[in-house]
Amino acid sequence: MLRKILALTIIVIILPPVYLRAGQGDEFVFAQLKFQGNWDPYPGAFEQMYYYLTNTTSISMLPERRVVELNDKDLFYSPFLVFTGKGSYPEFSSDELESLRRYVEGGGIIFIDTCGCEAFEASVNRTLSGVFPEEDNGFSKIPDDSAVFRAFYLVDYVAGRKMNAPYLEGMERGGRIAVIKSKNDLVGIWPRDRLGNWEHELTPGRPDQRKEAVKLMLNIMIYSVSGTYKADPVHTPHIEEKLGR
Amino acid sequence: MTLSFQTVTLWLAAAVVLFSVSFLLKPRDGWLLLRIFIYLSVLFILLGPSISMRRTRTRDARLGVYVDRSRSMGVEERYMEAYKEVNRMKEAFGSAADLSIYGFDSEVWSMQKEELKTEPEGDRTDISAVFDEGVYDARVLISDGRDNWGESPLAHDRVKMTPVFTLGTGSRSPAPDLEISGLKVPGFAFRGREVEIGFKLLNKASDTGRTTALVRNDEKIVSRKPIELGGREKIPVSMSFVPEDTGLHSYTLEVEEIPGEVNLANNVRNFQIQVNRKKIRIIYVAGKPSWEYSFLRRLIKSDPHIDLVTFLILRNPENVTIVPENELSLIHFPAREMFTEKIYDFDLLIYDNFAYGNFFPENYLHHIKEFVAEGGGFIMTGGENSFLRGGYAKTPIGEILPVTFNENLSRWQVEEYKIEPAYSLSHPLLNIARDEDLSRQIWSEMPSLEGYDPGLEAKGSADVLMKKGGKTPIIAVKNYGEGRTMALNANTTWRWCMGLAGRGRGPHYYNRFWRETIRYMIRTGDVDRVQIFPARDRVNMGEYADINIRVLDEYLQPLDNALLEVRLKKPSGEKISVSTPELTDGDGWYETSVYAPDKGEYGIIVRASLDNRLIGENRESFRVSEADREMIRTSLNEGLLKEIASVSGGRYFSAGKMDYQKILERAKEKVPGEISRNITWSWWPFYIVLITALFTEWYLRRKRGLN
Repeated sequence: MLRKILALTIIVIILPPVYLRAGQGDEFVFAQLKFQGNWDPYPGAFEQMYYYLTNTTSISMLPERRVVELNDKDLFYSPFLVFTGKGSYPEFSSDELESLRRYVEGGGIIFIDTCGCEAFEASVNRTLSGVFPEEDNGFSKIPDDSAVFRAFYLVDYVAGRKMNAPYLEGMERGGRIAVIKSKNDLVGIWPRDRLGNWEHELTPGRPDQRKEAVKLMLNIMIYSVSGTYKADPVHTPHIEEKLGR
Repeated sequence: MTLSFQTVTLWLAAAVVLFSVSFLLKPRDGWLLLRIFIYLSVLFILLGPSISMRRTRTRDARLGVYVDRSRSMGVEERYMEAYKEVNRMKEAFGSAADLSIYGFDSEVWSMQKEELKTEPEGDRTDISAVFDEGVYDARVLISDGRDNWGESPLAHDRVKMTPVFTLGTGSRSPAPDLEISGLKVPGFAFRGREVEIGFKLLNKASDTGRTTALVRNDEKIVSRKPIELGGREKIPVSMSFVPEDTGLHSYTLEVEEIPGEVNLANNVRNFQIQVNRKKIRIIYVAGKPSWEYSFLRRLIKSDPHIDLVTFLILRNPENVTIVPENELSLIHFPAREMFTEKIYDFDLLIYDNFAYGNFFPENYLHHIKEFVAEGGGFIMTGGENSFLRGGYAKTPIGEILPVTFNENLSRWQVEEYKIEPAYSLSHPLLNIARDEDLSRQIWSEMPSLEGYDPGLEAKGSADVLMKKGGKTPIIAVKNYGEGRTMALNANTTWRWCMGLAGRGRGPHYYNRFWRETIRYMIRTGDVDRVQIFPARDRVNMGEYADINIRVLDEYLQPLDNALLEVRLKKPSGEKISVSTPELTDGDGWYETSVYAPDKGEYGIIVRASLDNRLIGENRESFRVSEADREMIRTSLNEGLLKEIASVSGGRYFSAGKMDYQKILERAKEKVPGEISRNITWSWWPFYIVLITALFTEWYLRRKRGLN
């Protein structure tokens, strides 16, 4: 396993990091929300995600990260939005909140990584209550048998750079999980330095913690383009068998 | 010598005058005068003072025989009786009478021997026309008396001029007849689920027997129901059957004839039912996870009326694996099973940017072609692994697709562009706002797409619905066999969903486009959501036509709270509104009736809406014709025939009991002849007058002493 990750890492380092295209087409776009505050705690995470995703799955992905603000028209052509940060941030304007609401209503999926930062999480909760004021109990735990945990990899447990919560939270809109929230700093596991070493240590540092975190993060991205595919009855017996259930 | 009656009168007058004068004159003169009178009277008697009349016939009796040739004579054995009677009559009269044979319905014509043998076909019966044809000594009328056209024969000014001998054929009770009326058919059904149809059986002669109703699909009987008539006039009947195959099926409802029933045309009704699966079944195969797949899958999965099976290629052979296989959720793609066996259980197959070559051999594609030919739908969406680049040129898929591939131009070009409707906006895939003008505006405002293959060219048999740059087909559809295929030369329709959401308009039109596409591809879009069933194909003038209407929602489920607007288009072209139909027994059925005073084709236009949204509009027609007079009442009208015979001086006979001698005698009486009259001895007043004159003369001589 470690040998394979190492090989992939070498490929990542050798290949040019990004290239530009004339259009997006139907390719997966890693969009990240920019706002007033610390919106980009791990600038190097995307490149790693890109190469892992494109080399291990059939997904075609734009090789550049798309940084969007809530008033960008490109937001609506980026159905997967990563919303991460550290520390609190100023409240969004009503137009921005409305834009976020439309984004979700239109089919977008938001992945929120609080990086284990309570201040950021409080801001996020405030933002979401502004976006969906009618929600009584916005987030709930995503069940273990959700397609999120089976989208491509079979995830053993919910990991991250930290182990703050053994679960993911989700907010359902229109019969789908439209917002996924992690408290375990999932984005933080990805950055490497120029020598290929992981930039951030894991806590508590379980042997398979990084692997499970990689699997989970990739699953979340795959889930955004495959939906509940792995929850279809045709898959269930095979998956249950592999899980030894 | 011949004397007229007036002569005798003068003679009597002269006698009275002479008597009177003889008493007034001198006795001698009076006696002389009386004696002169007596001598003259004797002379008068000697010369034959009696009157005799003698008539001499100048020709044979002429008889006009009139045989009813209207269709009601076809009931029972009426016409056969009439035919036999004419032959017996010819034989009986022989050379004693001159017979002319006529046929009549609303007109009268001379009938030849061969025509006499043919079945009667007249649509009307006008007995009075008989009196206008020919001059005869007597007429013989053979009919069932069902006069239904023109003036009453009894009012005809010639009815009394010639004795009419009438012969009644047929039974006095109405002829047995059954009619299927008010047929209610769902119009749409699910395979394997019971379908119920209903109708009213009209038992016109209140027959007490029994019959059987049958529903056939082609020649196979799919439902059978015995019906006890029990003398009832209207019998509600419901029947059910279970359709076994999907598709548009034609059925025939038949009611078996009862003994003596002649009019069998109203025992049969045809109808059609679109049979689908309870749920639409779709296979969606995507070559890779993508937004297009994600959005479309989500939409389809949200539809409770669709069973979706998807196969998503998550990993290609060139991809590396960073974990053991048992940590992957991947399963084997059961291509052989899906594309050679199970495919026929589905309604629609979607290939989304999927190149088959890595997964199964080309011969599997023959099954897809066969699947479409048998009524399935097939959609290929764009992407770098579709069409030519997916290896589909010169394969069965290439045959059935609505596009061809230009190898020189073909490539997947990622470029933003606006789509342009290239077909009538009334097409269900384009009319996404249910209003053509509004739909045109919406399409013009649709977010742009990205990516297309410039090497696609539409086949001549295809309908190109959308283009790019006025040239490249973006959406093309084609019928193939019983099914349909679509080439969607794009893989970013999800941009409509997100793009419109960004403008605050939500995913509504994206959803509608794809829902309509699915319905269209599997032909449930062909099922009218507003269905109109006139209770009868033909309505008689002046009657009310019952109209049954069924309304279905977009999933073809019955809709009981629709608002219906009904207009009637008269044969003159005038359109009038009709009273709002009322919901009958639920299940989406509504009923209204329209008055049809004029003859011709009537159109019914029904527009259904719900919450100010149009559900659908449909039109149907029914024919209004003059009543089938011949078959409304078919029993023998003996009263009329008797009356005609009575007022004309003829006589009524029942079939087989005709008195030919009586007819001949009566006819002969009417034959004109030369009449001679003579004064004969048998006229007694002469003798009284003469005796009186002699006695008077004797008395006068005795009294006056004359000798």
